[in-house]
Amino acid sequence: MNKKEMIAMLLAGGKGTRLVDLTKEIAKPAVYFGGKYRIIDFSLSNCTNSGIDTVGVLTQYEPLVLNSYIGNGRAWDLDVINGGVTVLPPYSSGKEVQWYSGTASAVALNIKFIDFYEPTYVLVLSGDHIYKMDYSKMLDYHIKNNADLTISVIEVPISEASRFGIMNTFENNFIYEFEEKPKNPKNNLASMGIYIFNWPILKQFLIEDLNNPNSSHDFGKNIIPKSVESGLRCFAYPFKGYWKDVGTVKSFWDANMDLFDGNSDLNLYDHSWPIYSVSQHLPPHYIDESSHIEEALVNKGCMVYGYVKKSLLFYQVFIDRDTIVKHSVIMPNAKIEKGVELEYTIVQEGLVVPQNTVIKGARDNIILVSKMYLENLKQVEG
Amino acid sequence: MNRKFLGIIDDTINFTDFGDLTDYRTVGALPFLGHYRLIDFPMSCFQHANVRNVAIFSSGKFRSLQDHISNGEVWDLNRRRDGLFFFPKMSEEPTMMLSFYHINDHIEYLLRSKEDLVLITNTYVVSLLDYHHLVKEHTKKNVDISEVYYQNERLNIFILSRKLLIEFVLESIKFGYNNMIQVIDLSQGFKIGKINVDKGIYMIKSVNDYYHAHMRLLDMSLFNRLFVRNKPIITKIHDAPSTYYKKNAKTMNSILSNGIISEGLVENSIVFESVMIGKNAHIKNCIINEKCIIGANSQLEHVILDKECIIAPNVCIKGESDHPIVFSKHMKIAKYNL
Repeated sequence: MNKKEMIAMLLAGGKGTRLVDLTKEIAKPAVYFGGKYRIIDFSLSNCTNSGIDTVGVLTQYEPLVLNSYIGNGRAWDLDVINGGVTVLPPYSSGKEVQWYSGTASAVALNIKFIDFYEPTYVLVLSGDHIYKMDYSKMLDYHIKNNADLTISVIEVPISEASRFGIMNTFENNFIYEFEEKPKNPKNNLASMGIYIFNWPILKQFLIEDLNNPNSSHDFGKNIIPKSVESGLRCFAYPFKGYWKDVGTVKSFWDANMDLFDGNSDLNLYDHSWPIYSVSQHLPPHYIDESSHIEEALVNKGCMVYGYVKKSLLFYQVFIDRDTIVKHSVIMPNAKIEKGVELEYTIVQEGLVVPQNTVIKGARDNIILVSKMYLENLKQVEG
Repeated sequence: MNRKFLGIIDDTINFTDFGDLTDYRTVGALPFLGHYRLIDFPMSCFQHANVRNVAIFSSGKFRSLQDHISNGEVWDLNRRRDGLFFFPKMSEEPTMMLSFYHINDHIEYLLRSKEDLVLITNTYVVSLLDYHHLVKEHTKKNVDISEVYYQNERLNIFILSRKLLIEFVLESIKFGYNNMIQVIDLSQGFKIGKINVDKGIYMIKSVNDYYHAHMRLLDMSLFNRLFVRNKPIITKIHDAPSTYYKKNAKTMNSILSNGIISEGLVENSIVFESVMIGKNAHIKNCIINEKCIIGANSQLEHVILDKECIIAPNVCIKGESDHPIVFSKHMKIAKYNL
């Protein structure tokens, strides 16, 4: 018996171009976040915590890190016999290889995978959002409304509504109109890119869309507007709580800083909704007498001998003596040598910031310290 | 390819000087250094040596140990062939060490295994021993049994052939010996070799040993000998988030695990996972186990808190370096008088 009530299709092929070097060699969902996670941990953990045990992960851009990270899904309890996590890269069929040209075609090309589980409902998710959500409640809502499509929405300030896909709804949350980035928004309910479809309907729409040469094969641009226009029962599911789509280096830095007190309601210390991640076999961290560490998040294997404030240290970061690290995010295995000063920076994985380097950004100018950045710095000084 | 030796971990040794710490767990299940249990050390050494056939003999309160090791997955011991074997014994009687009677209950295991040699180790010796090296030394010496020593102290770690061990077990009544030490000390006609190991050995046989091993490991030159990059000590997966040092928190010369929220002063201490440290609390020379809560303005010095203790605000408890004060699991302390 393969039959499932609902399976999830998680879109993880995004390049996240505006994140520049953060996604130079990895897909956006694989980007590190919050001291010990990768962004995809949030949607995968949400699935597990919501009781969804079958997840197809659609990958295309730089899949190596993501593939090896997901593995057999053990870290999220998704290594079950019937279902579990399946990584779905583009494949060849017949004579041709079909790349995923858009989010909708990525799902459309995996209709066979979905049909294998004969689901009543399909949950479409993005792997690059940071939030905690119980999808089972959203499904209850979908069933209660006898809906064909339910779209999770979040209230945004009306002044910013023109940046989002906006749902115009009746009082009962029935969506009568969808406007992508409207100039004069009538509402402030923005789509979060989380959809529950009745599978037979979605399947039909996907096939039609795949055969339409004028479509850009995108959920936001094609499938959702068409669903609303076709008079389907589309409902908005209002979500309250922390939700972030980190699109730029600045918003990535902001999201990390949100973890400090009072900045957001994303509570990672809540045992009832744990965010799982692949764990490293590392010893606890060490804080030396010579250090000063305040308002900081620190992880396994770190050794801190310097001054650290308002910063996140991922695992196995080494901060030497006589250093100042402020308002910064230091990725795993980075080494900050003596005399270094960092302010408003993001230091990438495994980098050694050599002695006495001073890198100071500002709140509106976060500096992404990459291998290239350090090489350029050396040349300028050289 | 490695079919040279199998591992036996003796978790039956019962020391009387652990006080409440071993009231509801075996020595192997004692929490150690932030997020480990003592059994992680021998288990990890077997993993480093690619040993895929390991048997744990435990007795008494083994629930906590069994929960911790589960199917041995994290140590690569969830194998189709061989893997992890758990041989507990319901027993309230304190045992000196793993008895041949206990092994005899599971002799089928030894008979079915294919490895030529057996390395018997235990849970109270904390170290990063190279088991391959020990076995090599044993083979080189051309002896029947090798015993491992550290500064002339016996570590209760032995290497011998599987066949010889089976013989001892099956004929223990005839021989009159019931464990490896008795064989070595009393028997004649077997060639016994000594292997000396140095550095990085911590024997945890009492509360004081437990306390002082932790305090010594605050010295990073010793710590770094036990935690080496390519030979990680592996433990059960935990999902605690980052440790959060809040505003005005102060931390000096301390080892801390994940999931801690600190608003206090932590000095020369070891703090385990998911401990909450209140405002202006002062923790000095302490071992604070998993999920303890330390109230604001409380002061603890030379104290060992077992798991999930709650210290109310404004409590002051001071032990001495040679006599740390131990509070057992789930204790709630609102007032403390010496």
